Amino acid sequence: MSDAVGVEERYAVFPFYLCLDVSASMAGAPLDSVNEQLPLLRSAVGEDPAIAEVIRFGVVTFSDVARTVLPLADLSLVEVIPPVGAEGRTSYAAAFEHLRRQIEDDYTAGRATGDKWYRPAVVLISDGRPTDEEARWKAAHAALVDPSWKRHPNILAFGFGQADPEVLAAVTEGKPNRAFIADEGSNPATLVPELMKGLISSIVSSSASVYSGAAQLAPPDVAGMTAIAVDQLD
Amino acid sequence: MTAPQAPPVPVVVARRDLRPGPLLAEGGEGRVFELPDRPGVLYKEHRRPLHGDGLQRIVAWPAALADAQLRSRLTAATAWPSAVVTDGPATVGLLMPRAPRRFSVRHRDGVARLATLSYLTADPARRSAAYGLALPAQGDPQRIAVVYALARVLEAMEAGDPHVVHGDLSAKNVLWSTAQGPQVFLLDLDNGELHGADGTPAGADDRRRAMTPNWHDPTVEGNPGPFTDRYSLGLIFLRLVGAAHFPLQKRQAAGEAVDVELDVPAGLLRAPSLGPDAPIWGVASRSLSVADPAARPPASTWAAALDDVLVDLGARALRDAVHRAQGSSAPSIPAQPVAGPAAPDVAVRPRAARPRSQAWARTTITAGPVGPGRAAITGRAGPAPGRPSGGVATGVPLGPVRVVTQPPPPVTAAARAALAQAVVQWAGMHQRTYRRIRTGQGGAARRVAALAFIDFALACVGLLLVAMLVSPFLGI
Repeated sequence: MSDAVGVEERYAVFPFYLCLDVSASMAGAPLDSVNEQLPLLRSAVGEDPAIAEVIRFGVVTFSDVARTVLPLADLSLVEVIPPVGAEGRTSYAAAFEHLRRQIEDDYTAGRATGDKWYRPAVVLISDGRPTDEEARWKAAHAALVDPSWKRHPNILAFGFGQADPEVLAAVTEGKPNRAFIADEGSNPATLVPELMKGLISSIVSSSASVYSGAAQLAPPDVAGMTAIAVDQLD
Repeated sequence: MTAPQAPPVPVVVARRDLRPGPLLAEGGEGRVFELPDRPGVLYKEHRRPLHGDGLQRIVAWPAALADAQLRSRLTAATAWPSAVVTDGPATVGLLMPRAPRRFSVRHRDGVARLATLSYLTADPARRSAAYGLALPAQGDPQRIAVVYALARVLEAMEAGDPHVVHGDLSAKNVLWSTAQGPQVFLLDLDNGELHGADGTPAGADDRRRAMTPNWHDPTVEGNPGPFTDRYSLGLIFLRLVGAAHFPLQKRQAAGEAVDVELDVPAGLLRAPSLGPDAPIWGVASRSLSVADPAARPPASTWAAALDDVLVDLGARALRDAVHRAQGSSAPSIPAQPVAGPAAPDVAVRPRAARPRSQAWARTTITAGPVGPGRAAITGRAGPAPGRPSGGVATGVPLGPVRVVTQPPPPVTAAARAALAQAVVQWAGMHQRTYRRIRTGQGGAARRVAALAFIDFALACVGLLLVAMLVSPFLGI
């Protein structure tokens, strides 16, 4: 006989971190599209109680430095996701170091309130190569995906513009169906909204999978994709 | 018993006679359209043509019910398909009633959304913080009455031979309302299945439908079985009355026995119908059994048990409101006795409710003043410790975000003081008027008239407030 099931027992939650490149080149159409889509994301997830209660969503932006624009939250309790603006260069190291700290802090805070986590997902969107030294960002990345750190996230990466496919493949640890590059000649003004819509449907599908008892990280709908099995941390 | 009749013929409507209007919803099965020339009726068009006569038999089924009151429950509380839609020889869809407006809730954004069970299966404080909704408290007799309403509808579906199994009583398929008394409205009846008295499916329908995850019967793979609705009823009882998730199926699928503790308000625990030895807990336990699905109590047993609970709690008016809304007041006769042993693999027992450990508060994130080192914190009130500064926005231009917590508006000391002052003023006005009348000073009549007017206005406002508070209970 297992422990008694009472009213305090809740489903485990699936944390999603949007990790957004806000370097200068993202100004204009790309970030305008993001800012247009964020309220739709908040509404699609937050206004459906069945989805909102098993998803936690946060937004981290990075350029020269990384910052948490939206602390990881139950979107039904969030009024508005703050808009993002373009800044400077493209430091992947800042992004990874920030995420490494933020995820651990969020996990600790979540556990203290009785939340159980599925392995978090990081969705990286970038339009350029990292401007920091390779050694630096690779070290920060290694710390983020270190298998001995229990909370290491699954990373999905989406690149367009000057983004480097090899870099994105390295960021996603060479795992299949994790890194995606925009086709030649695609227009960010149409691509980014599609990406964000894909992120919304990915979050919604992932929330349904939480209820099935076997959570899956369902990547946005791209031809030839399969869902990735995700393990529960506790 | 009447003489055997020919099976009733379902209503058939030709596709070309329909004028579909706006698309209401789209799903894996097909699309649902409004019909502007048939208000209150929806047209569901299937993606793939339907095979077999399953839908036709579902449409025709209520007409075969001998008891008009049972039929009335289906009409009042389900989207039972009213007609089959054909295009030549092929069945392309169906017509069904639309859920009445009261089965929706309006969020802060003003948008009305279907009132699914999800609103009731979590701490109402959380839903209130999120959507601004005032929902019945955990253990409230209104919640018990909503489950009673559901049991009464399922009881109607159990009547007759063959009877109908819904097969997917999930949050999205069971709408609820308390606006005109406790009510439910079931969706997705067109996927119901007919079962003979011995439990075997009647009519070969090769559709394989999976149940909605988290609302599923753990004994079932693929097509729901004859005892699936009974499991659902037990699960819905726990989740609605307990206002909690009760994620049982993973444990049960792994073969574990489960021990369920349902929080009941301490006062209600003393009631014989909800105390530790009450028969309802045995009913719940047997309903959720995986070891012996055939022993799960039918809906009529649930209805009889919940009727006893509502009457014992002094909530007869709620029970009567359910009857009125469904047009059916005949008491439920349990096909299986209410009293009975607990199942070997499931124990359900009440526990005195304690305050929930987590409080919920809404957050508003505003761009704060420029400056490094301001920690971004969430607006979660309650025992959660302060967030460590690891989540700091590391300096520079756009500025870190400052999170403002909006707690629910308290009755501030200022408001109380203002109210006290108003009362003093009002009393003073009366005293002065009486003095004027007694001392015969001029203008007393005018003062009396003015005071009478003020008192009358206050009485109207007071009556209105009382009416607003009382009307939900009277079902107005």
